[in-house]
Amino acid sequence: MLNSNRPESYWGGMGKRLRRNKTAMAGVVILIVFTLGSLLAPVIAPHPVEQMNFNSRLSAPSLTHLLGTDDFGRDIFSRLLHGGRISLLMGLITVVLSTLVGVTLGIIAGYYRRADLFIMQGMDILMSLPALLLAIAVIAVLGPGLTNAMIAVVIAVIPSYVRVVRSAVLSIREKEYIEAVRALGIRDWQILLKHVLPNILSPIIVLSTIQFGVSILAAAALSFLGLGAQPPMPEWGAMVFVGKAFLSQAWWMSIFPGLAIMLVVLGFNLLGDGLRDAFDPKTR
Amino acid sequence: MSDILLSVNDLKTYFPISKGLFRNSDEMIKAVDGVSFQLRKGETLGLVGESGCGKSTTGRSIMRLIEPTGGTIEFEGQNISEMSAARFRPLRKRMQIVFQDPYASLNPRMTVQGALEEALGVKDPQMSAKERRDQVKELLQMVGLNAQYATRFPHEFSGGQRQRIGIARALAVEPSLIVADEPVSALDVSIQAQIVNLLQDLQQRLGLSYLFISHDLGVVRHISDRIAVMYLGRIVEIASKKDLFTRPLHPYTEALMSAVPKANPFRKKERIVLSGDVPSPANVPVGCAFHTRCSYATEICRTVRPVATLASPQHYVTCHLYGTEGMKYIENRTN
Amino acid sequence: MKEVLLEVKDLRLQFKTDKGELPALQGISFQLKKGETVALVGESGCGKSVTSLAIMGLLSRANAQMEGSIRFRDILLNQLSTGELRNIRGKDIAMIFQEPMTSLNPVHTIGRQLEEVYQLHTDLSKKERQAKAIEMLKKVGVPRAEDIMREYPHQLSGGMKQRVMIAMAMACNPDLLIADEPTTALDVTIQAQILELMNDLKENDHTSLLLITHDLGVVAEMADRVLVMYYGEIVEEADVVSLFSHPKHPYTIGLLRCIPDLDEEEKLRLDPIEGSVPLLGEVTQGCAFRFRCSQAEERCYQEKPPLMATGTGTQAVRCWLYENKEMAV
Repeated sequence: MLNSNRPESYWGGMGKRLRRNKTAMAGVVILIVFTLGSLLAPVIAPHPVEQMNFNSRLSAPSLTHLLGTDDFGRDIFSRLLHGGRISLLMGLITVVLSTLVGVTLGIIAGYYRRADLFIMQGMDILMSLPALLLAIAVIAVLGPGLTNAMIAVVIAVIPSYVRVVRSAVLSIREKEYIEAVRALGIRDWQILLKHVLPNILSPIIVLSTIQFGVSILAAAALSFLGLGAQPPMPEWGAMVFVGKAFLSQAWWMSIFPGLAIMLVVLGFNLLGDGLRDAFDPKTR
Repeated sequence: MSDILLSVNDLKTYFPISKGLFRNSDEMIKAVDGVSFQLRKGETLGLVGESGCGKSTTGRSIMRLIEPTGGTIEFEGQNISEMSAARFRPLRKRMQIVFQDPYASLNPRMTVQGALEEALGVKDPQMSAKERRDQVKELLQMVGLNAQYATRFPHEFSGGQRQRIGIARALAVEPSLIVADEPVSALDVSIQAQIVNLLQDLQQRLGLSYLFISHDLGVVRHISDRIAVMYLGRIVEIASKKDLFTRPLHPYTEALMSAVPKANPFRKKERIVLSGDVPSPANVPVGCAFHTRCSYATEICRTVRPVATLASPQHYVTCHLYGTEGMKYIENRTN
Repeated sequence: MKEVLLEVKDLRLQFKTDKGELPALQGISFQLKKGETVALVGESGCGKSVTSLAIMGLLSRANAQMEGSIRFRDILLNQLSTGELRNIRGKDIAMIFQEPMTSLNPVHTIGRQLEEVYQLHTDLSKKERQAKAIEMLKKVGVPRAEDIMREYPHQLSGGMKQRVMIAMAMACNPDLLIADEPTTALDVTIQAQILELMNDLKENDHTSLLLITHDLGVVAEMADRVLVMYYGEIVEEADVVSLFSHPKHPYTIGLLRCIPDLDEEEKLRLDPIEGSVPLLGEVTQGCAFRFRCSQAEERCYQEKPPLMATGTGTQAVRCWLYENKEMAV
């Protein structure tokens, strides 16, 4: 019943609501800090990543080694900065891949009734397995390694995309403007690209943001289990794994990479929740 | 007869009642169950009835936005009901639809310009950018909107303005038939009249034919040349506007007309209040679909489905009261 | 003179939004007498539904700032606490809404929802409540009342649901029933049933009715007195006969002209009111209808007209056109 005086643009209103959301902005700050840290790692890291120093093995956090050193005397802070590059890049690649595949399958399932049955049955099978178990099974087939870990994570998160996208498409498909362009004789792929996709972007963006965190966590978990990145690599999950053996002597070896994982995932989740509220102010 | 634009014969649109993955049932919702009518060039045929009577499904089936189950549709001299999608595409734009909900009928992420240019692209893919811009202006002026609004998004418009945009989009491809599905029902009364007038002006200027679907008898009487009354997927009466309103024959038409509240406190006339609800289209009564609510219903109405009878020139009614079989039956009874 | 049941005085309402305060109601005053039916008519956004929500105390106090007074018998409703209001709501004042589909709780049976009304407002035992509920359903013309008690809202048709809503509203014999577009979502043949039912109930129980609608046909059929609203104000007030035979405000005249009536001679063209309702907050001075009024003068742009009594005194209109005529009376 309330008419707004000057209607604001869709994205403009969204951005304004997001900026006003304090927890979401906290997430943004966390993510900016980590992204900058990773990008600038070669410049700001106080020590070279691979530089070993057997004289200062397992030394506690100090001014020279802010977060201490590991069992080879490598500076943990520097390794964390470099590890951030691996984790964030891996998250990015998995999210892009799973978005592409998941959104395509979801749109097809939502728009075409016949394809729906097959796609959704496939997804139900994937979803009936715990994601981590599924990823482990994939790696069991492909062999351990960073690339294979990413493939495993992609396969594990695709079903959640398909679900979200499909239900969004189902509600859009019934809208009269879709019927109107069908009546004009516009071809299906154009309808999907020009009319359906732009109207389901917001749930996809929200989901991708949250999945970014989930993917990083999953990749770290695989590395921790020794199935992903292999130890010399400064991957956070792998670092926690190595540090586990030294937990009683050098807690910092595991705690700090663990904290890094937690903060990044938290950052993505806070931002994702904020985006959800900002996109749809009514559901709060 | 070349002045017939659209000829619909025994149109049927059934929807299966799906009961889950592995249990496909044979039960059907008979949304449209044997509808026949003709529409002349430049004519407006009103299609009235209450919710669930199948009037909207009829409109969409004719345009094959919903694939009909049976019957034939002849449009501009061609049988379109069994055409392949590829052959139908060039004909499709000759019939356009205007929707009820002005808030759902425009893509919220597309400017008015974008929506209209898309439609123009269907009409003529070779059109230059400048031509398109000019035609968008022309279309907006034609529906009474300021051409400066072209760069705006749908949410910046009121309901009546959106309805005008929807009409402009339909006109962009130069159709000969417009199916108007409750085009003014969602609008305030003062705006309704604006849109009705616009539709009439456009019809005169462009020689359009309208299939005007509505539950509002007042609006339908105003805009239509002929009117068809639907009940539970069937046409019960079809006649010229004047005939229908001066001499409604079907008991349902009569009740429907008397049910409309008149904006006149002196005319608190008695009305026929139908008892009960409209039965579900999944479970249409045997015989005449209206017999459960009809005060004239006899035995034959409960068993035999009536056929359309010509009661007077151009006035068809589907009721045993006027059919030969009904007459015979009643005679037999009385003898 | 009949007793005044409800008196609304200079009711003003501002909605607080991101874009500042929007004036939804700008000084509404009216009375409703015992046994009377008053209709609030107007188009979407004119403030008719907001008025009813304000009377029921159903507006969130965080978003809406209210001034003026609402007196029901000798109680000032606008000064009551939420708890005190709840005791009056459903018992002395009841309300039915436009959407019977969403006004009933889908997870509870009809019987349970109807009994709940009695549970809240009476001390009847469970058995008595049940008996009362069935009696009430029968009264509003629900067939198979005993069976319906055990059914869920989705099993009923729209018309049946609206009957159930009316049964719930009338359960405690309220003195005032507020009906907000009670038949708008229904088909005409069902609308006819519901209007008949409401008329019967009103006559038998002497309930006062505040009817909110956009449909002038429904107004003509049901109302004793009519308040025409435009842009948060009452622009014309009249008894139903005067309103339809001598409408005065250009907006009322326009409204009556633009509907195609089944009894009228056929017209070649309809006479619409040009333009559209201004957005809330858009009009800061003068008459809000001037943009769409063919008789608007210089003065209408500067000064807002007051509600002036005309004719026999039962009709009042907010329009400068009638200023001199008022003096003549």
